[in-house]
Amino acid sequence: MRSSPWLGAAIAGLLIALASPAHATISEALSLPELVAEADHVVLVTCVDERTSRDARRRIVTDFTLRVEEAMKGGARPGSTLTMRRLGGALGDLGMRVEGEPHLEVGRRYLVFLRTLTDGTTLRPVGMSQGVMPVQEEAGARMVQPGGGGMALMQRGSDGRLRPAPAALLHPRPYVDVRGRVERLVADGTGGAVAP
Amino acid sequence: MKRAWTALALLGVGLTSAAPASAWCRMTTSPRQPTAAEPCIYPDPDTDPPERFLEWERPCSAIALSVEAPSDDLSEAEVLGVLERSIETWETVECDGTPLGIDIAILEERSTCVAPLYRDDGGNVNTVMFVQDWGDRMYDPAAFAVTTVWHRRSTGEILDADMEVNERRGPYGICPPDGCSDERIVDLENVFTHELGHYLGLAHSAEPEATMFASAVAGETTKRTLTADDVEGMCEVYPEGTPAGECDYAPRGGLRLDCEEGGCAVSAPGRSDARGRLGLAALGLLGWVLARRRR
Repeated sequence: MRSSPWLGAAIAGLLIALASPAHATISEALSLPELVAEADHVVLVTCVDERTSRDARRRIVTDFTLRVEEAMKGGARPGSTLTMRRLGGALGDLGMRVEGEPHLEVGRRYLVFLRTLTDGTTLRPVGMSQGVMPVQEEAGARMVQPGGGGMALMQRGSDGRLRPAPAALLHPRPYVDVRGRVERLVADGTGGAVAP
Repeated sequence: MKRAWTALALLGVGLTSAAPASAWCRMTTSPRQPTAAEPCIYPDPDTDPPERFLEWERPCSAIALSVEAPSDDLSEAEVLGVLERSIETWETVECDGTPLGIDIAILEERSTCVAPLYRDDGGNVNTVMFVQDWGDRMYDPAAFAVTTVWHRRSTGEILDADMEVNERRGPYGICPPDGCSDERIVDLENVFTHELGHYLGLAHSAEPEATMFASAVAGETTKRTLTADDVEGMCEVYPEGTPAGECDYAPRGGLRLDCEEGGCAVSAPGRSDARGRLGLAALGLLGWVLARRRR
């Protein structure tokens, strides 16, 4: 052991006032209005499949198949599927990792904010993991968990500088509330169309 | 274990907060990402293969600049100088008075790679490149840089690491030690030092003052200097005596400075024993090593 636990405790004591419960982020923080504005699709989905391959640049990428349950923005219909691409994954014994990329688990439900890339087909989460919010049942209520795990969120001030900033959701929120906010933002002119 | 002891000690001195003394995290083979409930990902031994921490298994590696993807804002000599200082920052880490056993060389020869690549069946090169088509590469527009870390899942060995710098977030410069007065300028050493932490196997830290905290502001230079959190993390990745073995700057499959299809790597044709192959590969690299930083 390199240092005693008591030394660790002493250092902790010195740093305790500085210790932050914030979780590291890698990108500018996006508020909920910004997530909605930058997304082509805002959808409640269940991840039903994942496949890993090499892309045209020979990077390892993982494509998640998402079954749409509800659409708040974009033209996806309930029951249809969307494919979201994540950088990284593993092929055989070879892995590729990019910090800050989201990971979805098959069988779990998410609220996702997806942007279509310039190729017209590839969907990526807005703001990396900020655009993927797990949705869980808690005490009979459907709750949206904050996205942005593993990212240190920043926001640009009026002077143009980036400063630490909160994520779009600071705490778990009822899904019905979040959906209502998203639909109002869409209706207020973010340019999206609510799917029928 | 170390963190458990620290937590016990904290309770022992009567502190009511459970805030950890350290916030550093290691990269792993796991696909999971940190969450509010799990700010650091720890390997799950029950997966197949068991998840591992990522680390270099050999003490020496080498990085090349991409001649095909140069910086818009700095000369090649300036970029090399910044890279060398950033490497030295990590190489001069001491763990309880013992120098870290890591040696990263900068190759005099340039890579022609313009994107991250690892060939499992041939030569490779760790490349630093400046990227214009950031969005087309599917990266987040707000990121200054991304380091792609290729690794062996079964062992956690880092095989290759390629660093891409987002030209759309520049201009990049070399700020004075206390930061750039022009807050639009992004200090390249600030960016390189952070990304080299990923190169060596550290993930993001939740400590806002740490080099491995995941965000920075333009003009900032604080990430040039490692905090106790960064040093503690690096000493955990590479405890005394690791990585063990002979110094060989060549990647496992040999050095290859391009990312085209076909071709061959710098290696020892006709030699089947690993020791001979690695030794000859190292000899082949000697003329290309621009600088080796010494503690």
